[in-house]
Amino acid sequence: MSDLSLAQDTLKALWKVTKIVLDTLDFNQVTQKTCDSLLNELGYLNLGYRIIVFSLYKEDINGLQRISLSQTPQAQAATSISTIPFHDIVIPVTATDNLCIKAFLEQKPQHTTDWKDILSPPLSPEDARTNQNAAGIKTSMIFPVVSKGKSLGTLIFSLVKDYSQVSASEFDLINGFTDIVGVAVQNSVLYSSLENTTNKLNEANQKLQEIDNLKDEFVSLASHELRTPMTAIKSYVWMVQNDKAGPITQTTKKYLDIVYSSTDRLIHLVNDMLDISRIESGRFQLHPVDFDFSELIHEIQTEFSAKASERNLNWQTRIDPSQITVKADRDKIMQVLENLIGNAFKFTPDGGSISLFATTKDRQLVVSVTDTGRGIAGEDIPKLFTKFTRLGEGLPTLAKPGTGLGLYLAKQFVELHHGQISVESVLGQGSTFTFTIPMD
Amino acid sequence: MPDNSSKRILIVEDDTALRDLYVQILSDSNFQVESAADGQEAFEAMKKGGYDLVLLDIILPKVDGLTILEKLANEAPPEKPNFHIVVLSNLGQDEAISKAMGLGAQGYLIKSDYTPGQVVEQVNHFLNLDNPAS
Repeated sequence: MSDLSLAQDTLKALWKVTKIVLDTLDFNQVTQKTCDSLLNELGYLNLGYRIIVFSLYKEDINGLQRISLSQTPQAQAATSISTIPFHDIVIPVTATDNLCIKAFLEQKPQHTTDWKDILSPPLSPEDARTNQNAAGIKTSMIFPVVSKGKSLGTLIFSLVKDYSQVSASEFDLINGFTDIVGVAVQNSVLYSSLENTTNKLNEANQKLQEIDNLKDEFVSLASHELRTPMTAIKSYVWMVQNDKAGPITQTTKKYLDIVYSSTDRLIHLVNDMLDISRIESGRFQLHPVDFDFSELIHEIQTEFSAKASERNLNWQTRIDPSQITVKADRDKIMQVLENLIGNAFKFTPDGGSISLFATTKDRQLVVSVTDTGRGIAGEDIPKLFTKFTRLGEGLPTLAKPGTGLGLYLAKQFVELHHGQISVESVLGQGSTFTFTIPMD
Repeated sequence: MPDNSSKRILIVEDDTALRDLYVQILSDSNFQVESAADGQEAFEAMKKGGYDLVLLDIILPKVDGLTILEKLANEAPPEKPNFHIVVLSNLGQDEAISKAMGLGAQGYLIKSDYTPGQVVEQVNHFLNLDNPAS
């Protein structure tokens, strides 16, 4: 056979094993295929090769551990009489006389006719030779498995012929083969560590989800337990306020108003926390319906009109065009509006103006609430829409303190509708809050 | 005041204070009011049926409200129909709400959001749903 056709055969063979070995990413399969493919697929059995052993360097034990072994009768014979089970055979890196270690450290192939050179330690020289005789091996060649300049382990090729009978092309192919094994092992180690990490992340994610479910469940049940007595207080106070227990004095009425509104604030706080818990666990569901936005504006106009005339506030709403049909969660949009208008009322002094304007632009509903209140300092604006921000210091005592959740929730509700909320304000002159949501 | 005396209402509520209150406020509006204090009692009453409206709590001793709806829908249909079932509960879980609505409840009211006066308004609202002229 010519040199050229030999080289061609070597390349073809290499390509074949490359495909076999690189085709898989699972570490155990890679190493097993490494040991089998050369013998079976490439017919190295016919060239006198009988056993191929792959060992991997393990950092934690600082040694080369046997990982996989070709499935041949000779390999079976050697392992069945070995005093140490195959997978427990570890050669400490400090055993520099062992040719496996030598090949590993120097990154150069070695060969021997005596298995004490490759099995001792950990086996005694006698036991090593007993194993060799059982397998009927004459020669073993040890090749380092290297990837990116770093030794990963070794491959031992054991033959029933002399080292002198190993041809140059055989040797070349084995050399090329061990390079490929290096890449494959490196890939599979990376892959299995990636897989390991992925599994761990999945587990952690699942745990977090369980905790989140528990938190949600807890918040739901806790709010149920809180709401029940609050409902009783609110309802019975309402009964007394509405003279269901007989007439009451103005003073009693006034005191009960405070009990009622305080209870209602607690109820709102519970509702807000429940909403936040659901929003943050991604479980909040909008209930969108088609509705006429002008009706909602009308409701809100009425809701705030008594308060406005009480405090001599100029309270106006305007909608253009006069009818706007939107598809949205009506209750939540109402809640956003009540929050923005409630804030405007809170921060606008008696005699000031508050207006609501709704219109459409590019299939978006655009709603703005403008007041002539005290305005917001530039440095406070970024804090506005975050949880538990309260900028109500120094308000007259009759103003009820907020929970610091209102604008945070307003932003969440608007964003759940794929909309946006923003504010423009001049300190001392007033603020305009604007939100937009798609109309459908 | 509309003539409610022919309308039978069942209130299912385990909290004594609230049960008494809802009974009182609806009786004051001239409805014929009955009440059940636990899920078993409620199930038996609803199985006999014939109510114009049932205000049903969810978290109840013995049998919860969702199970009652499930049993009535799948195992033990009422002998006489209950025309309107409205959940009145302080449990606001989306899952519970959609389940109740899927099992035939027409409304789901969060108790703490309603004053007794508003509960009466809601009762009238649901009773008038299929009869807008009255």
